[in-house]
Amino acid sequence: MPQVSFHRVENVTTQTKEIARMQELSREIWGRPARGSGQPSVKAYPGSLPNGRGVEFTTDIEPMPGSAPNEARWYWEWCPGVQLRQNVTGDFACIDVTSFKNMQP
Amino acid sequence: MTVRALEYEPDIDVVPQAIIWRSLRYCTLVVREGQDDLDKYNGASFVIGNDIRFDLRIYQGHIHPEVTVTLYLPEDVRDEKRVSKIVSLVIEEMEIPASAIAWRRGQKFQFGKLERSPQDRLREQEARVLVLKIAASQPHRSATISKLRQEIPNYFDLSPADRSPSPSRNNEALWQIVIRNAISSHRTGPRTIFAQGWAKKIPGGLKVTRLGMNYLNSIGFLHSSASDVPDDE
Repeated sequence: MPQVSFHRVENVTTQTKEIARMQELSREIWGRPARGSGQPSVKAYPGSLPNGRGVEFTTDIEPMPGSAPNEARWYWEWCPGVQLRQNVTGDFACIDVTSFKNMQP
Repeated sequence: MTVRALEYEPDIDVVPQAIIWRSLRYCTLVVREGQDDLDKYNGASFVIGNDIRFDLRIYQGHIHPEVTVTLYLPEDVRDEKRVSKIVSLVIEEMEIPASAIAWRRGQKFQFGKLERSPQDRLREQEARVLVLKIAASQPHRSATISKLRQEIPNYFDLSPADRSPSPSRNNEALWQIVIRNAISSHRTGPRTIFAQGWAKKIPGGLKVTRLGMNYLNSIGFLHSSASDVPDDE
């Protein structure tokens, strides 16, 4: 079965071109906890990047639970395969990607 | 119960639990912009009673963002039965028909695929509230019938069934007849917007009363201050 593509669109805080470059090099996507939550998660739209700037990827990790037809989420601890990454700014959920297109160079 | 629009965003993560085939504008005028880890969004926060909080949001990357809205519940509401109960309560209290739910938690789905229920079309009961919402959004809370007809497609995604020709009037579509009936002075009964005191007739159209504004406030369409208007009847 073909893998589903996901994408994230460029923004000035959590999907900058510097972050896209790091994602491309590491082949990992990281996501912070939402405000007020202690549970880090990666969030993305399903499907290919329709237009504009952003990144597109596939992953072997199932984005459940908490996902919907229009929104994919990978929660650390709740989704098998999601790893925890930490740096000075806090905790992150992390997923490995199997393919990655950087369309925000 | 009353749906109250809140000024502040939730201070907890929210999770998508249902997708409703209605625009955000249809649901509420109390809309603000926000941003989270996913993207920018337009949305609104509400509470039913004192403890049932929910959000309606549209993100630019959602499926059909111009005609659908996603219902989010706080991340700590995880039990599927409780989620289902709250989703049902929300649409009931916001006067949204069950046929408008395109997906809800517990239903299987494919990423990126969303279908509208074939049963979902504009019916008279929903049209009564819709004309009230549109008139309340107009200057002086008034709208003529032609203005209502002009504005309906901006609030409601007319389905092919809605656009099909009326069996009784060849030159009108079914939805136009539904609107006509919803505001007809010939209709009687306790559920009309006039019998409930939510609107009064004016030449060529209708005007929303203070009672009508209070009603729209109670279903989350308006902010509570919006109903604080003089009733010049």
